[in-house]
Amino acid sequence: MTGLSTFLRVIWLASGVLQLIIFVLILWLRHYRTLPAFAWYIGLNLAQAIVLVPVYSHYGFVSAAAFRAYWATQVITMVAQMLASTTLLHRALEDYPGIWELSWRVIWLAIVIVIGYSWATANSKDRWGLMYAHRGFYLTFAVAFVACLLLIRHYAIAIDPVYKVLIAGFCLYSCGNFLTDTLLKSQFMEHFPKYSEVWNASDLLIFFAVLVVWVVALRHPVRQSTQVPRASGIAYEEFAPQLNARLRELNDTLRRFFRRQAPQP
Amino acid sequence: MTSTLIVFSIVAVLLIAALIWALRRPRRVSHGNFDLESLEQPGRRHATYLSLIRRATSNDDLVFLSKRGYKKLQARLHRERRKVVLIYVDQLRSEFERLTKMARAVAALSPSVSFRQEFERAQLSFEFLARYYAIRLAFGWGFVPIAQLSQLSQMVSQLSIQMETSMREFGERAAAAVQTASSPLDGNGAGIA
Repeated sequence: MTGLSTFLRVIWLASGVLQLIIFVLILWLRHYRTLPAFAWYIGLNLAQAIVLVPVYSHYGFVSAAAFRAYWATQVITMVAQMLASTTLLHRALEDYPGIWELSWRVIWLAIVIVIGYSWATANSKDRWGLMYAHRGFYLTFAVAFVACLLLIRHYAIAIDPVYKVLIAGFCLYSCGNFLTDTLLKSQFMEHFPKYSEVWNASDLLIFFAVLVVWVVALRHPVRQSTQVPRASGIAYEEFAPQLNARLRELNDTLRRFFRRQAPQP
Repeated sequence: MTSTLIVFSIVAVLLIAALIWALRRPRRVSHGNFDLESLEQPGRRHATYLSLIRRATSNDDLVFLSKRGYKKLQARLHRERRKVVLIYVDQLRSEFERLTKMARAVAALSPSVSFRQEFERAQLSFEFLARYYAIRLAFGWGFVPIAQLSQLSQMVSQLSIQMETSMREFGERAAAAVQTASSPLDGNGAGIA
């Protein structure tokens, strides 16, 4: 594999081993029943590595064939990542359909806003178009899923720690990718001869850290759906506007104090 | 290029900070067993102490001390009153939070929630918090004159009574809504996934 440094080879190999461990854990502990999309994601990541090893060995790491092979397979794993994380979120919130509905809207909102921006940016930069699109994807992902995690916290919903760690891992990986894309490749390092290696190394190191956390989390079984009490939709429809009206009244009373505080002419 | 770099770096740092904050262990969680009893509990009986608070924060005492020339005592009384008001305002905030927590509990357990209502509540909470901190700052640093102190005390007392009434009313209704709907005899109950 010419063009690939020893450090990159080691970290890539280690990531592959960790993914294999995760795959074995998924099969051994039957996580595929509760996490089918995640199992697919890990499987596709392993398949990508299996496809890329002979390509890199034959054509070299820095070659047009390697570039094409990487990006063609990367798109598939990125789609798998999106599906896996959305399924995870759905499973985590299946006991809370109202909050899932809210999360889904937040995801769509983030997708529309960030993809719109990324599309505009990617079109204006031909040389780095692919990189901007890549960054846009991870930004969308990070914004949408961090917002969902914030919603989960806001409503004090306890989701299974395994789901939480897996979703957080995806978010961390996306934030890391977004940061490295921004700081390294598209900004500082474009004039630095070894920027590609720095970019690849940081990308792989973040992924490695996420994989370690996933291995630890997946040793535990995933909680099955629990019977939580339910409020009827009618109760919410009546309750929410009335309570908001009362909160508004209280706020208005407090506002009046500040008005009285203002100097009189 | 530099401005883009700064903006995106700030976005990345904010995202990571939000992620860390979101992953912190919450103090109380709704692990399928909401504390329904806490929803039914009324707030503290502010009405019981209202006359005492009004008496304690009336301007008459301060005017009397000022006329008699007890400046030190007057300053001390002012400090003490300020503390009382701050405790009262803190209490008010905790009750406002209890009300919003109640609303969140009902929303979390409902099969469908309104984006508009949830957004409005978040906005109201933000406004309330902003005013709460403004009052704390003004009183903590002594920006508010003595005359305003008793005015605010009365206002806070009224707010507390309003809050207490709301807590009682909505607490009972929230708990009833959740309990009734979770009953196996109810068609809107646990069958909704």
